[in-house]
Amino acid sequence: MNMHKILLHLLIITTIGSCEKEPLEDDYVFIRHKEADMPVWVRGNLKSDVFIIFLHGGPGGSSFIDIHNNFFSDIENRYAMVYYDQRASGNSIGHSDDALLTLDQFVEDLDIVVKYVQAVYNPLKIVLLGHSWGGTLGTAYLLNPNLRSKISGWIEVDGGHNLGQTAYQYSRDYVLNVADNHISRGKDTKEWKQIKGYYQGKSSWRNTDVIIQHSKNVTKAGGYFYDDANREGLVGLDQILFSETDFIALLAQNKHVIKKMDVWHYDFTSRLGEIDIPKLLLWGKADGILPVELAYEAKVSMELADEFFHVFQKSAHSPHYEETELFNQKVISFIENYIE
Amino acid sequence: MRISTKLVLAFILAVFFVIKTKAQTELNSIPQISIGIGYFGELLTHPGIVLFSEIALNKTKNQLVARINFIGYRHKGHTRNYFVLPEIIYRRNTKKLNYWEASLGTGLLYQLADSPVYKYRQGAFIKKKSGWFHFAPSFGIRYGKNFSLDNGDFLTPSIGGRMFYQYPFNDMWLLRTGFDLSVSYQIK
Repeated sequence: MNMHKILLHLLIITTIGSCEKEPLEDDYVFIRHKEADMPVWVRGNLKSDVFIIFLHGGPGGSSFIDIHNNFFSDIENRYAMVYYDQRASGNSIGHSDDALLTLDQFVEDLDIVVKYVQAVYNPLKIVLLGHSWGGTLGTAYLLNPNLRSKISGWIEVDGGHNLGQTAYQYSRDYVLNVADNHISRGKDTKEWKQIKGYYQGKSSWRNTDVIIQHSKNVTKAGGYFYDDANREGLVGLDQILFSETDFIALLAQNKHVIKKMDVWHYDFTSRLGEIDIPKLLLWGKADGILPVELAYEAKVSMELADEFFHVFQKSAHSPHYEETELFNQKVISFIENYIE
Repeated sequence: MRISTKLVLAFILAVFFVIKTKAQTELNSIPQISIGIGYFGELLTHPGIVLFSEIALNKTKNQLVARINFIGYRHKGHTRNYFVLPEIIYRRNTKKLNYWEASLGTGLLYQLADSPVYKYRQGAFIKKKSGWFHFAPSFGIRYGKNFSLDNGDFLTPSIGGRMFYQYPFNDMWLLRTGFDLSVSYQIK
């Protein structure tokens, strides 16, 4: 390829970049707190009386992947969705010190976001929707009665209300069962025996190396996606090159926060009954990192009626991704009947 | 992409297509001082402009050059960035006075959110305008082609890529990439 052709291609690429759809609305700001600028993107029906604050997973994930994939588009048609990236996560920038990577600090940050929503929109009702690590964060926030008084509803999605010992055991057993299944069928026997052997002598995942390796094993075992093909479409090249998401920072921060944040021990199961606001528990049946047994335990602890509990049969860790339409229906129905 | 960025890019591309030159092979004729402008893209597609000036420290086949870059780029909806980067360059000139180079530098990157920033204070949210300073060491490579114009001055289109760190990005070293398509003009 000669120089002129290379230049022509560069021109085309940059022109495509200039034609990108205007993605931002006015309600996109950054909130500064303790040396972190955290993006807050409010979308959907801003005239609604109900604002839903989404708490992304991780720790160290981002809500922007969920935005780009329109996981909550039906909900946005009815209500306002508030997406924010937590401290040192996703699209957050600034100089946040590693010493601030604590659950207490993240709860404090979330309260600033709640105050922002109250100050700017003054909605009648604020609902928290927490996925995965967002379930840990939301639960910790709501266990404080003063903070809970600001919130009208809680939706936990494959959430981390329990990241402690039993959660590790359920997740480890999930991997071991998949390994046994493969070994009994003679499929990749050597590799699965190695994976089984990894867990010998490991009684906890409260260790950076263990949680990272275990997470890889869960991925290998199919515990994040019910349908492995779903993984392919989660992030496209157009998002990486042309969206407002900083994927370089997103990936690096995710890795960094996982290493630095000591969270793999929290277990709030016995205290879930203290959350005395309407609650909805949604879970993927095939979740391998936070298996569905944790959901059943939470249901008992919260004394939830069946109508506030749903297990998605064709989902693993992210039912809002794998069964988007049904997920949106469940959330809308819950808010219509118990929040509005 | 801003109109100014598009204009710079169009200008540089036009230079590649329209310049008419004469052959020049004398090393001592290569620029002592030159200034340049270019399209800069962080991750290629986050557009910006680079202005730079170069001073040759010698005029041999294996050459040392000092350069200072003033870079501005925008990641729409995320950040606006202003980057001052002095560099020392090892440049290898070919017989036809084209060159390959490797550069090392360390600069200062100022990053602002590309949306309003609010800080909570005493029951109210106050708008903030400040951003964040970052230490930014850089390593780059570049290919350039010297064209000798009718008046004897050199016009030099070049294409380069660099990796640079941003520290502290929160509390870590964040490695970024940038590419540029530039043209420089000999002023001495």
